[in-house]
Amino acid sequence: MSLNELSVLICDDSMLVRKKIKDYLNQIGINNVFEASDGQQAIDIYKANKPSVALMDIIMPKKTGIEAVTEILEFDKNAKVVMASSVGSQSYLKDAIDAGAYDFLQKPIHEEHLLKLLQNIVKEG
Amino acid sequence: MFTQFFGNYLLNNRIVTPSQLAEAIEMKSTTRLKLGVLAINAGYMNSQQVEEVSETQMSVDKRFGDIAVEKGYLSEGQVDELLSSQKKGYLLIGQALVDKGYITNSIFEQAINNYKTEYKITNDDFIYEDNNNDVISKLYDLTSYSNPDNYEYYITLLFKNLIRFIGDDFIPLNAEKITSDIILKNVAIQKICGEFSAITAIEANDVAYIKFASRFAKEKLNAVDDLAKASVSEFLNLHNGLFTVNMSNEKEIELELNPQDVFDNKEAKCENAIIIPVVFVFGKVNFIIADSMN
Repeated sequence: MSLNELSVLICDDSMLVRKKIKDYLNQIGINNVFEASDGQQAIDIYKANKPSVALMDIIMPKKTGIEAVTEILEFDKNAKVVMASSVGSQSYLKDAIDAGAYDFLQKPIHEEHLLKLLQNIVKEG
Repeated sequence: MFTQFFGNYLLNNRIVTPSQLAEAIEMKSTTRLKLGVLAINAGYMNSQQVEEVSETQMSVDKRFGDIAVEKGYLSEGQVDELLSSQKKGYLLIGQALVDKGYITNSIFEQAINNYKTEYKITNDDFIYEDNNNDVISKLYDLTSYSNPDNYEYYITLLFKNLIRFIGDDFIPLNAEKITSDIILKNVAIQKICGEFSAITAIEANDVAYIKFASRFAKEKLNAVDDLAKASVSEFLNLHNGLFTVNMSNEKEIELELNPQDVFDNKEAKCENAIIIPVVFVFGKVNFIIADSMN
């Protein structure tokens, strides 16, 4: 698998964050991108499309990122959900790990960190 | 961060006008620091000596440093040290104001010395620009709020994040305490809750809101549209997020954030709110922390 074969679900209630990530993904050749602006939408879109990876904000309306990752993993135990948040307090991190998150990205997301993470996912196949 | 607070000091003491200061901030990037200002800041020369050397320079084709050494005001070692010293933003402001003729070397000398004394800033603080807590606590009297220490931490981090994500061309004005109803023009609001709770907000008029949003988004935005609102509220979320991380790591205080809200022309009833107006070159942006807001 190569980078441009990845499909990515961006879950963030900030339209700006979604736009920035999407622009970057397009720039590195990933055009199969889905967007969700709350936790419930993230679950629904994940179930319908099973993307290679989901980038998940933690604080979102309707359902939080933690609730969404839990439900997504119940649906697909191999789901790769990466928590992306500026909030890195111990309790949030613990909740994310307990819920089965694949990795964690600190906001503001550095493009090189995101690229490295996506390259690892490609390597793992 | 001393740049911003030195600017505030100059304004508060009516040493410069807001428009002169705004001009100096804009000139900062193209201003070249001269040895005279560096020597005054280091305490190696006083303003009279600097003036004397500058006058001599007009009739003799020599460098400032060479003349100062000849006159015995500086050693060659001090000249080298000053020339290799890091460029400090607050000095650039001072230099720009001197270059423009808005202040003299003597007024600069007095102002920089008084500023250091009044805010208990040591030369070490000037080197390690992070130690600015005295400035914050002196400028903002937070004793009447429910969480003075945490609010102080919040404000300190806010200025760092403004420099990091928006730019360093701003001057924080004195804080206002609000306990009554206020009208917020364009505002992003986020509640922090957990071991203590507070309401945080960013408010501005259309022009400043759009410019602030553009800076954070790194895109040219033209209206208070969804993207501009998303940008301002994301800055708030990012700053608050970093605040909660630091509180957790450094103070073991666990906090959570609610999703942000954005409003236009919101009438808000605040309890114990502190408003920190920050003047950027493009306009004024208000940062608010309140014990509660309805």
